[in-house]
Parts: sequence; C-alpha cells; structure tokens
Amino acid sequence: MVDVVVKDLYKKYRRKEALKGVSFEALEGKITVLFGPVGAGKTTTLRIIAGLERPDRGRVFFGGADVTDRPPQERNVGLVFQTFALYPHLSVYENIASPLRAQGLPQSEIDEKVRRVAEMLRISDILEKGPAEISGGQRQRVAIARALVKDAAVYLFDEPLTNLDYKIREAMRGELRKILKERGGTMIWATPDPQEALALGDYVVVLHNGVVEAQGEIHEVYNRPRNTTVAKYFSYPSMNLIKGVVKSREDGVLVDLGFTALKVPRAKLPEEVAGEVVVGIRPTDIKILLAGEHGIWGTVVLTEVLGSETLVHLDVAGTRLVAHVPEIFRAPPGSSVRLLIDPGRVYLFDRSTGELLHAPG
Amino acid sequence: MICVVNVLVDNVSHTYTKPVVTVALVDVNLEFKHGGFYALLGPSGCGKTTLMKIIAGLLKPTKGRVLFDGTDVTDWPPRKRNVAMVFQFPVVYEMSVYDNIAFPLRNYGYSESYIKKKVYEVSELVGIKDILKTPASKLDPASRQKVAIARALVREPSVFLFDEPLSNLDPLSRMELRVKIKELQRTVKTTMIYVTHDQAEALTLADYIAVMNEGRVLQFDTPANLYEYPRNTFVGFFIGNPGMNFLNCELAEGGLKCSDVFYPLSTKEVEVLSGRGSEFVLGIRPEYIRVGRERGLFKAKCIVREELGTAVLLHLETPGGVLVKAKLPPTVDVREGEEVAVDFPREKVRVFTKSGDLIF
Repeated sequence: MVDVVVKDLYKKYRRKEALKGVSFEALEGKITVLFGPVGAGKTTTLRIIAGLERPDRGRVFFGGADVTDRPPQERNVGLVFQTFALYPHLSVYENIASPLRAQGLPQSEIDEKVRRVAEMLRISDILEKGPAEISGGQRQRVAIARALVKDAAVYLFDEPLTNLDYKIREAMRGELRKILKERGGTMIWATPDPQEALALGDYVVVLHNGVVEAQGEIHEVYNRPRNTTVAKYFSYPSMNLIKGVVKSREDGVLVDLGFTALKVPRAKLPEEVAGEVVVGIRPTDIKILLAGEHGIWGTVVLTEVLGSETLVHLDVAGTRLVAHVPEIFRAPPGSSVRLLIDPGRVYLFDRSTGELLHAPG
Repeated sequence: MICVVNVLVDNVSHTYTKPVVTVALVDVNLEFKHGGFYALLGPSGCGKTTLMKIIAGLLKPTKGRVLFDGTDVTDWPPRKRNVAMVFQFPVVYEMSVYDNIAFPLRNYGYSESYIKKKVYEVSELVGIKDILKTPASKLDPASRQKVAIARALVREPSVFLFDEPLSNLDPLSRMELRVKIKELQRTVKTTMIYVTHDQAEALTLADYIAVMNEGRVLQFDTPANLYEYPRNTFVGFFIGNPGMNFLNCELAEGGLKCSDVFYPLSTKEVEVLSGRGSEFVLGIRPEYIRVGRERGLFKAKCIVREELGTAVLLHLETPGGVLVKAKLPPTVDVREGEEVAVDFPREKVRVFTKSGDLIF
C-alpha cells in the first residue's frame, strides 16, 4: 500500500506563505485531484511530495513511512509538469525509454514497457519521430507516457493540460481517466479547472490560499460544498452567492432575498444562526420562463451563447445573477425576463464563517 | 469620441522565411466592419496571430493589402494606425495602476487634469477604480490584464486587438473578464478583433468568427451558423464542446451505412448524394443525440461517463465499433457498461463529402 499522507505542511517563500497547514491523504488506486485557482499552493504541495522542496514544517508519508527527509530519487515518483521538456535530440521512443535506461533495465523489458504505454496513450505511430516533428498535444502525451512508463509508487501531475490548445485538452480529458485507472498506483493531479477535476477525479482536495478548504469524494464535495469558497471556485459555472435574510424557520426556512422570498424545504438552521445568511444558487437551477408565466422580473445584462447552451447574466433589483439555459437563448441587453428559482435546489451558508448550513438533498 | 474604423484584409498571403520557409497565410479576405466584435479562431499554427500582427502593422504581408476605412495602410507603422493591442501575458509597469493607465497619455503630453479625467473614465469602465493606487506588480493576473486593457483603451484606439488575453487565467477569472470585455465593447463600440484557440470564448464574445486552419479562413460567419451549418468537417469539429461526431459512411440502399449503423435518407436526399460518389461523412452534434431505453436508430454501450458539471458526456460504442459522444443533462441515469438506444434527430444531421465539404 503506497497511500500518500501529507500532515500539516507549512511553507513560506520570501514574501508569501504558500502553505498554511495542509493535510490530506491520497489513496492507492485512486485519482486525487488537487484543485485550486492560481496561487492556491498546488505546485508547492506537489514539489514537497516529490521531494524537490522541503516543507518548513509538517511531514510526508508514503505507505506509512516518513519520507520527508528522503531525496527525490529515493521516493520512486513519476512527475509531469505544466511546462514539460523532452530531449530534443532523442526520438519519442528514446524519450519515453529514458527513465528505464537510467534504471538499467534490459532492452527487451524496456521495449515491452515503452510499447505498452505508447499504446495506452495512442502514440505508437510516432515513436520513431523527433519531438520537433510532432504536435503540442502529442508532445504532452509523450511527457505523460515518460512519467507513466516507470513503475512508480506515486504519480504527480502539475496541470499538464493547462498549456494545451483547448481542443486537445477536451480530447485528452475524456480518455485520461481510463488511462490513469489502467496504470494504477497513487495519482495526484493538480488543476484549476473544475470540469477537468470532475472528469478525472475520484477524490478532491480543494486548496485556496494555502489552506485545504474541503476534501473528500469528488461528487460529494461538489454537491455539498463545505463553504462559500468551495462553492465559488469548485463549481462550473460558478455558484451565485447572494445575501438573504431568514424570516421564518417553521417547516423549512423562509429566506428573503430582497427581490423575492424563497421557502427552502427541509432546511434546518442551528439556533444561533439568525438574520443574514448567504444563499447559494447554481446557474443551472435558475430557469428563464416563457412569456405569460409568473416569476421574478429580471433584466438581461448579457447573454453568452455557447453553441447549444447559454449563460444569461441578469440584474435582478440590483443583484447580479447568472443563469444557465440548456438551449440557445437570445435576448437584447436591457430586456426584461421572468425567472424561477427552484427553492428545493438552494444552498444556505453562514454569513460570517461562510460555512455550509444547508444543501439540497 | 472614439473613432471606429472599417478594416479590410484584401487578399493577404504571408510566408515566413526564417528560421525555415513556412506558409502562414494563404489568400485571406476578410472585412471587419465599424464597431463590430470579431474573433479569429483556430488551433496553434493556423495563422491567426500572424494575421493580427499584419493588421497591427507589426508585420508586412508578402502579398495583399490592409485597408482602414478605404485607405491602404499596408506600409504604415503601428503607431500611425492607432491600434491598441492586449496580449496573453499582460504588460504592466512597476508603478501604480493610475500611473500605468496614465502612461500613454503622458507620453503624448496631455495635461494632468485631462489625464485624470480619462483615467477615471476608463477605470470605471474596466472596473478597477478601487485599485488605482495599488502598485500594478502586486496584482493578480486577472487584474493585471484589466490594467493592460484600460491602458490600451485610454488612447482611444481605432481598432482594438486582443491576442488570447484570457489564456493565462484560471477558469473563474476567465469567465469574469470575458463578461467584462463583452460589456466594454458594447459601451465603447470600437472595432474589436479577438484572437483565440478557445471556441467558447469566440462563440460568446464575437458577432462574427473567422475559423482558420493551416493559413486559410475556412468559414467567416455568425456563431449560430458555425454551430448549425459548419461548412466543412473541420469547423464542425472545432466549434462545440466537444465538437461534432463524424461517421464515415457508404451510400447503401436508401441510406448511409457506417459499420452496424444505418441512417435512412429520403428519396430526395439519396438523389442529391448519388451524383457525388459513394462515400460520405455523417455529422451530428453531441448535444443533439437522443439516448433512450427502447426505440432508436441503433443500440450502443456506454463505455465512459464523463461528468462536466452542467452536463454529462456519454461515450457510446456499437458492437460494430462505431463511436459517438452524446451530451446530456446531468440528471440522465446511464451508467458505464449499460446498453442504450441511440437516435439522431433528422433536422440535426449534416452530411459532408468524403473530403469534408458540407452537402446538406
């Protein structure tokens, strides 16, 4: 068992505290996504796990053994970075084979491993080419293949798709989960993209400003964001977070948003929560109604049509909301529309701590 | 008042001679009208950045002309063209946000009182009024980009050029700034040309998109037309998340056949196709595929279920090895390994020639 456990990591660079007590575990055979925006501490965490960086405080364990003081070469880790370098004078084959040659494996074994991993990443037909002769997406596949070819205990990926063209990212996202699952081992994958995280991960650790904001089974964290930070960042599109005032707590919670009141069914708030709360509404849970139906009046600020779906940016009595419509919706800016917010899909968060008070069932 | 300009790219070709001879653009003809928002969309190396440099005057094309309001500006230096550019990596100077924005105006020798008025005006538009005193070097990437946009805007350019300005931001900031740029364009009404490889950005921002590949403009059209009627398979693939599904088919008795998938055609459709060979490509967008339990065009197994937040993407495979992706609401309860019935709505199916040109 090579579960990776990091305990209470602290790391300070000259001006910035990068990690402020980061703890989590990544289980063998699972893909753990390290999610967070730029500057959250993802790269620092991966570098510490790899042994490229020493934490100021805290420990790293591989399969129960403390490896904090071990150099990288003794950790048996496969690494892929955002900006990756291939050996320009070597063929794709030799690039992938290089870590195995360094280990001194016999040629027959090297050949078998290289061909198997190349098959997995669908680059068998370019093995004889040089890095300059292949596309950016293929180069990134080669970099991933080079990391996966080793029988490493732990594989670390630092945003390997971020610098790729959008279309290549989209294609790889779909098949990577399968490839990583086939390889096995402990996988830790860092990304700032919630869609990529959802497509790949079994577990997620949400990092923000050097602090773990949430961790757990990825859909559980997505569906029950622990606080407003998780709701804002680990959501696609970002959750609407607006102020509300609790008016009644009998038979659910009645919350006043200023422009409308919502009766949130089955919600129970702790006694001490009174007055203001933060109300979270996913863009997918705001419906735009047809003419003639009753609803809340809003003004269209902007519509963003994305092929067959639309993000509608709205102004509702001074509050900005985003609605996701699963079809093409066109309305000129300034036009009035009527909306329906499903009260059964609403989240409630504590106003001062930001913590989750209620999530829809 | 900001003057807006009509930009005409007239039969432009460009070949780089260094480091190796590379054809970057081939016979490009485009018209960017007064105050419109345009996108140049395509993969790395398609020529979109080269074209933008030619419009900006940073590069002289090997052939063809660039006209601003009918005047040939091909030989004009960038400064004379009055174009503003915003790049992928925002350039900010080691000074306050205010001084950054004021910089170009001070260079032109405007009075401080005029400068103050203009700086406040554009910082209001871009939404950085609260951070005018902050040193620009201390800002996060999204705010830096806003400063760069404000500094470009303050010069009152005739044409605004963006070179992948959001590529370097995380998804949330990217969406916020995308909305900001769109709102901005509506206010200032300058002609804007926006270079990107991200189809979502192009679709949401632009009124008109030029889809480019290998130095050529494949289609110059509205987002809706690019989506519904891609002129060829490349456009169909490139537009959409993910792009269109394509099935390589043979014209068979009364329909198109791809392994164990048979798509029936009307008599009229067969007539149209029979004059154009025996092999065709059937295209359908993942969003338009219907998945059910019983009736359908064919049966397929769900081999991967990809969660996308607002939707799920099912990778479906038939016993005969035909692969299609279907994009459905997140509530759909199809699991990996399950068999489903798949249907293609007739009005959403597109048929292309074997070489990829749209027939109907």
